[in-house]
Amino acid sequence: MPLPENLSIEENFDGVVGFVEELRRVGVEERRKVYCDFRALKRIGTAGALILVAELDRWRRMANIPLSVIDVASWNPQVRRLLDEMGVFEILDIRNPPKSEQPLDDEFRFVKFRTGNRAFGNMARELQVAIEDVTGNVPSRQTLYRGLSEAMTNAVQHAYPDDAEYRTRPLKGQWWMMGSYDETSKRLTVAFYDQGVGIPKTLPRTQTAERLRGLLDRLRLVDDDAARIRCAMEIGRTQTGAEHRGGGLARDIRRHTEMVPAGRLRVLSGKGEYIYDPYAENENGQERLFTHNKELGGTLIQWEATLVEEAE
Amino acid sequence: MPTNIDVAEDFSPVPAGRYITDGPCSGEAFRDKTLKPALDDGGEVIVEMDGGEGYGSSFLEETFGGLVRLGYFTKGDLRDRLEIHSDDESLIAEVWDYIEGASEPALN
Repeated sequence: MPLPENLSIEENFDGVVGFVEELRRVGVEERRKVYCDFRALKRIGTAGALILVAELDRWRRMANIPLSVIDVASWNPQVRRLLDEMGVFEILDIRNPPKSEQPLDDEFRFVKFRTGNRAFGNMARELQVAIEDVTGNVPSRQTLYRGLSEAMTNAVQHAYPDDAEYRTRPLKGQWWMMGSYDETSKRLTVAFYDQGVGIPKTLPRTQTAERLRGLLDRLRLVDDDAARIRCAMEIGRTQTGAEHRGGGLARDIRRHTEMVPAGRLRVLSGKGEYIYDPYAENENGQERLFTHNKELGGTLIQWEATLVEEAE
Repeated sequence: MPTNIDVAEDFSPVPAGRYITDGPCSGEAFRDKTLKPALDDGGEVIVEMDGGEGYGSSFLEETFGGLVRLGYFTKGDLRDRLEIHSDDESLIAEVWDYIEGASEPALN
């Protein structure tokens, strides 16, 4: 199975998700041996790498097979180094990891993958420390911690309901996260992913049909996956009592986005995509919705911020 | 003398999760193992919230909203005896939102 040339969700959604779908079908569902050909891969995005690694991780755990790499010399050298820097070979426990190389003088730096199946605050803190090592500081540190710890809680509590129908057997409660930093633009990206049933399917479990319908009407939205993500964000923004259960994630990830310089939030779930850009001044507004042709297979949350020099 | 609880020192600097099944440093664990026993003594309790990494909404709602929702204490009792300390005033307000927004169980 050849990987797409471009593993960026932003630039090649269908290619990335199509590849992961095929890996899921052949490797995880049919338990067949798979050769993922990395030789064509030239470009990697944070979210795309996260989704790919999560699927490889599920495959190796479910099939209980050790993974190894071949043809590494034929890989794009920069791709090979980036995969190493992301911690791909460590998290997948690759039997024969390529020898680590000195980082190139490159503008992109990665914060290594982490994964777990419970709400581990220490892992959110570790990610923050790793981001600080790479960037020198973490903007609005406590709100990032809130967002990450709430994303973990959501993955454990809501993302994998026991009575849901899964086309592909999940690793219950499992989540994956990582970060990247573009030295040139000073842009920090933190991504969090779970392979659960997705927000469009979990939302009706925490909200009555009547309430959901009312919310869709109030927001003037047609009921689809993107609209349901938007509704989940609205519930998180407006509710604080016990009825907000399941809305804490939206509340906390929105808050972080609003508190960091040039913050931007992106949530992909089902076929829907929601972008919250509180600093946007375009005519489309701060919140935008998109519908893709393919289902992501889980929920991806991506925060972005621009790091600014702290005043002396 | 009020009882002082420093969440970071007396419980965990990395609180996360709603229920004990979510993780070892959850809101339920903090409420049941640390906060409720202190309030059960009947005196004033001061909770110092600074020093840790931060608090997710689920942790806060389960800890503080849960005190009321589960019928452990009334809102009035908590107003009289519970004090929240933090440099972040929005955090203090949020904690009280969870307490005031919690439904008290119906009396039989």
